[in-house]
Amino acid sequence: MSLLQLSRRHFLRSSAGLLGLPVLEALAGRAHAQGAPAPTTFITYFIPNGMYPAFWVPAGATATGTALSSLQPTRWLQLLLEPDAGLPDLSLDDFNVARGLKGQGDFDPSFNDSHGAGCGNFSTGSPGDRFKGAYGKSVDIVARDNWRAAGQLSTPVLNLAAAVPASVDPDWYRSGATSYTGKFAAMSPIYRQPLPLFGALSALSGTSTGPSPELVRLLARRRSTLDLVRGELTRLGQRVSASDRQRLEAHAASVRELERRLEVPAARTCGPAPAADYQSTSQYDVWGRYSRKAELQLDLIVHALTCGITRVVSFMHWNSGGEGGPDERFLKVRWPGADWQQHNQAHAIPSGGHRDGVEAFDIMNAFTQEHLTLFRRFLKRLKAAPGTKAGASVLDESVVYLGSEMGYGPWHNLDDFPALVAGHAGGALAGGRAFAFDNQKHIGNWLVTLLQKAGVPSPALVQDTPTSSPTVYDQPITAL
Amino acid sequence: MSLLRPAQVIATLAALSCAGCVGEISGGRAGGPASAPAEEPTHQTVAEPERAGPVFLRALTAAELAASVTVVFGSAPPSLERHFPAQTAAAGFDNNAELVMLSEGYVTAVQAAAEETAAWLTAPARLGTIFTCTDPRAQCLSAFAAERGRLAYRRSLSADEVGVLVQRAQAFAPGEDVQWLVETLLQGPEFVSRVELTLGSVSEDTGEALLAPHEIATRLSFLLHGRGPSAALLDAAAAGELATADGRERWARLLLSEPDGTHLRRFPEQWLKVDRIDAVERSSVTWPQWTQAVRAAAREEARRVVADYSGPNEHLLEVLRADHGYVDAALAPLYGLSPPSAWQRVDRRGDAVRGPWLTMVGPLSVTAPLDATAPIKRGFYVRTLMCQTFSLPAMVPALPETSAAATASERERLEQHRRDPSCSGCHGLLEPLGFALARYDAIGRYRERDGSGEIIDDSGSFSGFGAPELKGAHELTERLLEDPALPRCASRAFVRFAQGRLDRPTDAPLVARLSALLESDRGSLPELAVAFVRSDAFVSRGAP
Repeated sequence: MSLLQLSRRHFLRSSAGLLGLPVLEALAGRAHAQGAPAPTTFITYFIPNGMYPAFWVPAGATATGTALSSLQPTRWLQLLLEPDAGLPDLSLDDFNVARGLKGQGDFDPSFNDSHGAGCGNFSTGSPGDRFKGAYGKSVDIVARDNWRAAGQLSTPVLNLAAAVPASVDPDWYRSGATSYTGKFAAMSPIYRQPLPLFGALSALSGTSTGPSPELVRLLARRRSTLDLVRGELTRLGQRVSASDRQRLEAHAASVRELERRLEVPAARTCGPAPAADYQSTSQYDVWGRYSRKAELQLDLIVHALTCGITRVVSFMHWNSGGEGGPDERFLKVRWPGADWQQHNQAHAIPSGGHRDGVEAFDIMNAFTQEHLTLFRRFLKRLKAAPGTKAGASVLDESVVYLGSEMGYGPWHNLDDFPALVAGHAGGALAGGRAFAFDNQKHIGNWLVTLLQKAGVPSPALVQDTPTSSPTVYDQPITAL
Repeated sequence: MSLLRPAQVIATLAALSCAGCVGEISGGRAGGPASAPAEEPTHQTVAEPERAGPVFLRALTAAELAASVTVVFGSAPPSLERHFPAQTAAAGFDNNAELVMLSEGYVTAVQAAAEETAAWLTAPARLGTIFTCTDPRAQCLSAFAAERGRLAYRRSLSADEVGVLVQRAQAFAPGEDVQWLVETLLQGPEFVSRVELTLGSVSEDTGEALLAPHEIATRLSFLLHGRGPSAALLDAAAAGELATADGRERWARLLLSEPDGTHLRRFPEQWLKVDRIDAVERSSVTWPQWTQAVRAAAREEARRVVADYSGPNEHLLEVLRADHGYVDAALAPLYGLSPPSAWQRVDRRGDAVRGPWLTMVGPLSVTAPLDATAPIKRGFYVRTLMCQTFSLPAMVPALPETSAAATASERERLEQHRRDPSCSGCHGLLEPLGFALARYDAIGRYRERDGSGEIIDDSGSFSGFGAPELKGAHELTERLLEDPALPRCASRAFVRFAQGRLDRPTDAPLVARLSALLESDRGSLPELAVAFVRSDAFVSRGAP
């Protein structure tokens, strides 16, 4: 671990640091939207390898929703309610939990039960292609684009993934993404380390004088470049085949998206970004180091939301293992006498099995506990952060969706997905209920419900799946 | 991430395909019960002209883009590739035009790479290396845009195009104007993608569009160097030197002889899945010997061996019969050798255990998923080298976990595949090959006995579960090299690599000629490339 003591002022003085950011996407404007601002914040939060279902939703939950207060709390619900020093407590009313959401296997039967398919289910309602990714926009991008189309949003998506490296085994990369701007088009950049994100956020916050001169000049150059590029694309498109024209049009659409990021940030006085003095240089993360990194990223998300830098966030805990790769995606946890990865436990150990005397069940739960602990602290920080309305918190004005890519790792089931939605969507979402859908509701319908609750216009997910017609989810679950 | 079902590995792999198999036939799937898939159809060899077939607009890979920046400006900041999402490979190669998408993420990465390059090049210490002219400013900018623009777009820019660039650049202060030009050239569509325009000239033989000279130069440079063409190559193209097969051959040999003319090795490296070695993970409890240093060394050995068989005096396919390897201090113990102080070549001629490609730690580990040797996957790897592919039907039942199965040898555990006719169609082609490698464990170490002390049977067969026809890796390698499917498949793979797409029926004449070359004693990698460069297919393009 290298600790970099980097002040915001120091960072901003460094033009190399500024221009070297892979994160300037985040410099996208916080300009005032054309219409009424989006009423809520939309957050997706991915934890890998599912959850042991009996530890999640209490027995007695129904498809129409049952008051959590009337049910015996499960292990993970108790964990979410634990206190943390200096942070407000969560209550059962802050969230709803669900199980029994139905997913679908990969359209390639060779990989019917893959994590890749599951990642697609998590954020699109349709399985992803193992190699290429999702078949259409993910739920966070639908929120972004539909809000933008309605003139309610001009900020970018912050796309974060703890412990995803810059380079991974190509075959497996696509199953490691949950945010997609289109068919097989993974959202980028993914902020994998706190430090670059800190830099991006620092450039926008904590100042009463607006953006730095360097930033203004950079945005001017970008505007000129993108305008020229768009013209060249138009000219070329008239001279190539229909097939190539489609590719150029995809290029042009991407350029237009970059142009949307060029609104000059408005002056804000939300205070400096929390110091993110950490950048992992290790190829392997043990749990303590990983959790520190993840928590710093989550702190920066809270800051970005508080400052209005973004209203759409996708965050992903990495899957923590796999067949190989020299990268830190292979999060390891130190376990007495062993050095295990959660993902491999989900494969190598049938339920009830063990290796070297360590029960897979315990290892799986150890990871879930750590993931949920980080999530709990994240929710509490959202609850402590002031929202846009007097007396409201960011959590009150948010829809926070937590889910996974399968029901429970060792079973590798693409049904009985666990899910949680926290926040109150500015009053549109009631909490305190448990749902057990018995695989009678599809996860796509769950996602559409979240979009609807968040106030996203025309909430629907359309996936260009290899079926006779596109897969469309546009029916919300009314019980929620 | 592994995508296999949660069961012990052998049982899992067995289960995955127990319900029969489906042969994959280039692009589509033909379903059917349990019939063994034939080799992917090699397209009919008939006396037809060689065609380019469909050629797509090709967005540069991250590596191509980074290397091309150096062509344009003479230098580039390190690791520009890091801005890009990891490359996805299709049909074995990461340069498949249909997969490098001009998505929002890709274009964002291009922007980040361009801006980093511009800041780096225009830093006071470096600006003088790319921009020396001082006055008058407009003329300086114009010269810069014309010279660097030609290298970036791989063609000469018109006066109007240069004028627009200069006009826009002058909106910025001196210094920043150059920065803007760098940023803009590197985000230009014609830098980011390889654009071939249909200009009107058509081949009389094939009816396909003929490339412009600078487009031929571009193809040549990307094939052999993995980057845009140099000014010298563009000059040669403009002078008509690439219009003839002989002219192209001269330039191809020149480029291949240059010290950095090693890009072509990416073909055998990807074909043999050398890159995948980086992704081999093992439990540090079960396999403490499999460290990051060992994995890196295993890949390095594989790369060195590939390089040794990629030269003009070596037959490319002889890499499978490699008679030597390399070890460093990390890798040597896995071969039972004393650690050397530095990388050392190891002569394996006459070695009964090591030598062929299939006995090297890298290939052996990459074909052994998770923690087991998996004869199915190893058999699959060998079949893939012959373009025989297997895919799996849905709803595959797991092999039953019985107490007998728990104590059985690997070979015995897979016995059900011989007995069950719904399994034997595919598995008869897979396990009997993989069994021949059974004496190499999941990290490539040699052993003669299994965990229970029994001698490991390494007899195998090409033709199915019948009587063994071969024994061990050496005999397996010889059998593979005798099979005519090998050079045909290697030729098809080369066409995929060179054209940046899956092969098509229209490629059949070209594949046949390249295959004949590989069947001869002139089948070196450079000769393969030269043969392609000389072809009509190299200078034309069909409709996508």
